[in-house]
Amino acid sequence: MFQEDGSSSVTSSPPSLMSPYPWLKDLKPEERGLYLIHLLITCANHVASGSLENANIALDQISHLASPDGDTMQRIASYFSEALADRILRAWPGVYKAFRSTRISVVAEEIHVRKMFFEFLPFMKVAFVISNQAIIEAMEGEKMVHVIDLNATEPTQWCALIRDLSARPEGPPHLRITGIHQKREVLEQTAHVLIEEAEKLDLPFQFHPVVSKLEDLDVEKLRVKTGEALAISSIMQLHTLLASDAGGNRSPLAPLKGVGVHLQRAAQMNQGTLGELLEKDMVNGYSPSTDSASSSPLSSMPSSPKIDGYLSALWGLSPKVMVVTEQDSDHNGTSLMERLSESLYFYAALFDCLESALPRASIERLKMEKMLFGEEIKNIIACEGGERKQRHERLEKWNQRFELAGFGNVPLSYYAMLQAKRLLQSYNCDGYKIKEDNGCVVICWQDRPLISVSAWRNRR
Amino acid sequence: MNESAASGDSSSGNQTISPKPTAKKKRNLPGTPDPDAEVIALSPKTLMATNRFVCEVCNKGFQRDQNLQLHRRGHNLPWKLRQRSSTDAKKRVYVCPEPNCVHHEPARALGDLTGIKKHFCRKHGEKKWKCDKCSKKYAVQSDWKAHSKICGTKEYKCQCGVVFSRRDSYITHRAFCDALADENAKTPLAAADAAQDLEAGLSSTPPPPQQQQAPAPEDPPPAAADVASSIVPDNRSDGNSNHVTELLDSTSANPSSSQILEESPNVTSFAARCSSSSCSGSSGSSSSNVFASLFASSTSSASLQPQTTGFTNIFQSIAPPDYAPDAAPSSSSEPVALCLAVNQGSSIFGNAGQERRQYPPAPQPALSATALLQKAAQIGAAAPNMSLLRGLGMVSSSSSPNSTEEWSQQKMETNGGSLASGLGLGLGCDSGSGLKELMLGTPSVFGPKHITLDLLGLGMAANGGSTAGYQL
Repeated sequence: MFQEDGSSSVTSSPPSLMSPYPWLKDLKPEERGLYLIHLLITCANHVASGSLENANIALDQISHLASPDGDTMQRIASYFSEALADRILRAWPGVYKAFRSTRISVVAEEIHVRKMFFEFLPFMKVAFVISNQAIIEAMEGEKMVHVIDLNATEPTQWCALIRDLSARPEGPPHLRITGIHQKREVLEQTAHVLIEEAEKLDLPFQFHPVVSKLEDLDVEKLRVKTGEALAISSIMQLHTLLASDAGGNRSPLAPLKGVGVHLQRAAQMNQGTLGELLEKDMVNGYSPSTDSASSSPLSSMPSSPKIDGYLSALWGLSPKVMVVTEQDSDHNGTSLMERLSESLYFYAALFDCLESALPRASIERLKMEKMLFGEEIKNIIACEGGERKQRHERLEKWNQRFELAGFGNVPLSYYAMLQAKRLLQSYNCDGYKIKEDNGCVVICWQDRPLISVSAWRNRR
Repeated sequence: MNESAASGDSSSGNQTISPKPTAKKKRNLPGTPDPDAEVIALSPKTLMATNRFVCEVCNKGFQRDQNLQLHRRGHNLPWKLRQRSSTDAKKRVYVCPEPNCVHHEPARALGDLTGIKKHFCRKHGEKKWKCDKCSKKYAVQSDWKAHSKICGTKEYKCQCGVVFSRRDSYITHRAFCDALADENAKTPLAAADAAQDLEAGLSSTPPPPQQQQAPAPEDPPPAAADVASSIVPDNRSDGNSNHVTELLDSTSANPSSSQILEESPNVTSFAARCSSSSCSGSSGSSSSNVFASLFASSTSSASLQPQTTGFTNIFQSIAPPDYAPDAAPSSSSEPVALCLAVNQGSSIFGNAGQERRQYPPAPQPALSATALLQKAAQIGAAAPNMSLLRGLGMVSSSSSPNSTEEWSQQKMETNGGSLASGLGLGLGCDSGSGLKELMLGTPSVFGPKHITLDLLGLGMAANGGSTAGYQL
């Protein structure tokens, strides 16, 4: 029986009454949570070292404790365990493909989930507010403004910009927005909304859709004119470009080839040698099952020609300002364990945010957890190479990359910070904190940095 | 005349620099520098010189091109020279002579000579024109004229009687004003009345140009915005007004703060309205209703007029500002949060230096995932292996109450609690010691005979597992 207040210790997922782990029923929520953490790490260790038998056992245990509609830790554990299972299953490509073959993705649902993320969590709004303020400040006195949006799904940001620009004292500029997205329909929708808004306010406006994948973007298509005041806005997009460096021609399942061998070994072993097996595997390292894109796990800046080239191309457009919003957490580690620990902290914070925003029974919350965070977690944990798009990195790393590409930081103004702070205050939730880091703004949940916003211009 | 012309000659340079950073085909659009346009770099003196157009023959300077042409006729030039050369007829763009300026680069040249003159004066020039009413100074005469028309026409009056001509000082004052605090402490109605009075007290002429507001029709909204912003600091209890105080205090060192506050009052008003809406209702569902309408542009509250401009539209709330004294106390314990804090490399997961991190007493319930992770890291690092697992109450013989006691005893601050190593399962690079412990301790932890193994299920279930088999 599952109770809202979490005082019950058994989850709502069909608990097998014949559970081999009877003591699990007596766990208090806190203990359960800690045990779940322990199990997740155990399981990940096993997966990383290829001892799938043990991983299976750990997952089984987790299944008795975790649940997508339990308390925060239970939810997190259910998505992480799903991600680990996904990773394991990729060792059998046939099985994996068959398992996923009947999956249907409903685009409307995905759009709806993003809308909810925008509504109930403050990150997008704060990013918009700060980005727009940086753009407005940079475009002071400009008569022709061209904005490039690297992912034009949410027109709200530009509606706000249109309103602000039309209200400025020197009069509205001629505004051109270039939106990039894979799907034409999304761009058409965005265009429609924006054009309507601009017409209402009598602001000269053009929307230029570019249907393209971000990594395949042809900079020529953007039609940037010399001398025009250009702003580039990227909200949680650039990290996907890091995948192209790691992936390329390597099949995402390749690193797990060695796992099958381990599995057979494990199945033949009895419990007496488990410890030795573990030791041996740990000593040998994680090589069979980790992403070997980087030569050494300790390299501070693995060479990433694709992203550097991309940033150089953007730099070549001479933007007046480029505003970048990114997740501020290192989910791009080479070893699974690194990624697991970092993402545990990160998504724990995000799940806590949702816990504070919506009740446990909320469908919206469930959908966000499953379709947004769950999918990201799955991507971080289970995928490798070009398939792993969610390659979040720390703010310092991004700053290094930008500087390498010839950008200089534009400190975000006091006013932008003020607006962001007020916005967070309006969520009436203690957990959100905002801090400034070398001119960049970082939104945190209880000391855990989550999202960073920074502005850049061409350095001479 | 000759002097200026001579200096003009010697110091002006006509360069034809292609502003293209890379070879791309670009179309000519009115208002943007043509890539084929001639880029003119003038010295400051030439730029400011009144006689820019110089006759090639006698070096006489003229203010206007037409006058120069008239003059040239008098030199009886042969037919070819009489025509303007094609280079002269070409489009010209100008760069700012100031090397640190954005517009110093040909790619960012401005096409209008008057424009570049004004730009140079404003940004790099001396401010010779001063407003007589206030202390504002201007470098360009037209700016000065525009300002003096508007200066002093709008005034803000606080409840306590002080009058302000500048919006930012007015807002700052209201944040601190004691009279207001007392007022709003009494009843929410009093606050609302105060707000109404305030609105009435504001004049209706357009605001000064520094503030980014559209003229007349937008006026009631800013007034209403003042209402909201006036309510914001005061509707909360002292804890939250400390927020604002500290916010303003911590950032008062910023020299441009006052200017920036001035810039976009629409945004302030939105923000204020946001905060005021936050005073109403703290339950998740009601706030979600508020924010569902946050980006809606069609509705507005009774006390706030419909907006058509600025950020106010994004964050418009429909909830009228309510007084919620209980909204504050929980946040008053964390006034520091809103201050601009320097980032300390916030990775909780054990920095290389393994620096000690103090976790503040979490205001959230202990069941939050973040708190659990922190606890796990702390406890694991403090008491690895056996005692950890016992502490987790995992030993099947112990009952729950006991385990919680042990639990709290083991909780202590550790140095950089590395999560995974703390839980007795090594990680890679960072936690060398944890890994060693694990490897040394592995046999006992994972040994089949040990009771703790039961908890991991490795013992029992391994039996079950291997017999039941992980069937491929």
